[in-house]
Amino acid sequence: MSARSVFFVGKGGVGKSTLAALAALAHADSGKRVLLLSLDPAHNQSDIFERQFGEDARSVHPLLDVIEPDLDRWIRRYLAEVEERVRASYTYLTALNLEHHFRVLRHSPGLEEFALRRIYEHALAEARKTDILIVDMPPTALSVRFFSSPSLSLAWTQQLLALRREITRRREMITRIRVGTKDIEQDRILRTLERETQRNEELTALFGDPDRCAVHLVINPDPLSWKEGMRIREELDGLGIAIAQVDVNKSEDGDLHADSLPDSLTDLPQLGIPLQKQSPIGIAMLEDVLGLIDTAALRRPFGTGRDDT
Amino acid sequence: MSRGERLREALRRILDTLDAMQRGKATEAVEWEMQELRQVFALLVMGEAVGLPAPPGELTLELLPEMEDELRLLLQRIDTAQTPFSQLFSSLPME
Repeated sequence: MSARSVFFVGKGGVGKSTLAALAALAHADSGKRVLLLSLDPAHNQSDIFERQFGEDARSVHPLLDVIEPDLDRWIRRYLAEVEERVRASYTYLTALNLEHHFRVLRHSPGLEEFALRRIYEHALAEARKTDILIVDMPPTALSVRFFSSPSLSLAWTQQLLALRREITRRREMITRIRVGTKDIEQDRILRTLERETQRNEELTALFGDPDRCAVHLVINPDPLSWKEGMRIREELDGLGIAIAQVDVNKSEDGDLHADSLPDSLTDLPQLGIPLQKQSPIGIAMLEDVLGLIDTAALRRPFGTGRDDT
Repeated sequence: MSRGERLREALRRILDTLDAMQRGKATEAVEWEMQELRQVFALLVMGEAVGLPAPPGELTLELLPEMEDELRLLLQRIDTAQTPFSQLFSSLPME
């Protein structure tokens, strides 16, 4: 069975990356094999673990690996690959004339969240022996686009697929009548659309499956942070993605008082993480903080050793 | 060749031509439909270049390597149309 994913989302500056690192370490300490994937362009995990991370997994603990890819680099590489494929397959229009379009498409809406989706899918596929995939998410706007992009893309691919099928049906009809052959060339565009549709369907299903995917909403005990947290919840609710827990970081004493959360979030499981004199840097300091909190709660909802598949 | 054989040969050629004409007629309507649909498809995928609402950038990029024919169709059509779109397109460095 592939790894279960836990996404840490929240307003910039609330301590998402630290919480993700703490959770990753807590799971690893409890015996689970963990992969920490940082999708935050701020690259905080390299700072937190005092190590340079990149696209290849690096071990920081016998049971914990970290990956922190560079989004810009990924996008540039992807565009270069597309350009290569265009050069290889175009015979009449020369690829040189499309340079202008590639420059425009680089800033096309949707490309960043597409890159994040692919990076996530790749990490999930690579994490065959991993129990838990902890994902340190980018700031709110990009995170929400990440979660909504498969269904948005699906809306397009399903329509284009239907239209393409109409086209290929007619083409086959024409070929059969004109040439009388049964050997119809497979439409590559159709295949690409079918493949993208399937990918997006799988991802949409994954995000909405509480057995495979959980979201921790990280907030601070202040009204601005609450407001953003409530907005995030609304967006995720609209996508059918449940929030498993609210982590209140930098809370005064780690105890959660009844009035420290807005009403619209109190129905969710909560965990308080006490304010530290400074942000924990390095495994030793992270372990110190873990000693102060309810690590079983931090590991929700996949923390219990109820399976070993 | 005997007269009989020449006659048979000529008849065969006439029948072949008739057959091709019939097949051509049969497919004309469907071909036209198909061309129109292909154009719509091309506009949907690559319409961003001419200001239409566009699918997420990655779809255009994923399909671009397979859509040379469609792109040519689009350019031809826009070329012959007397609309502002053709002006826009002619300002882009396209062959």
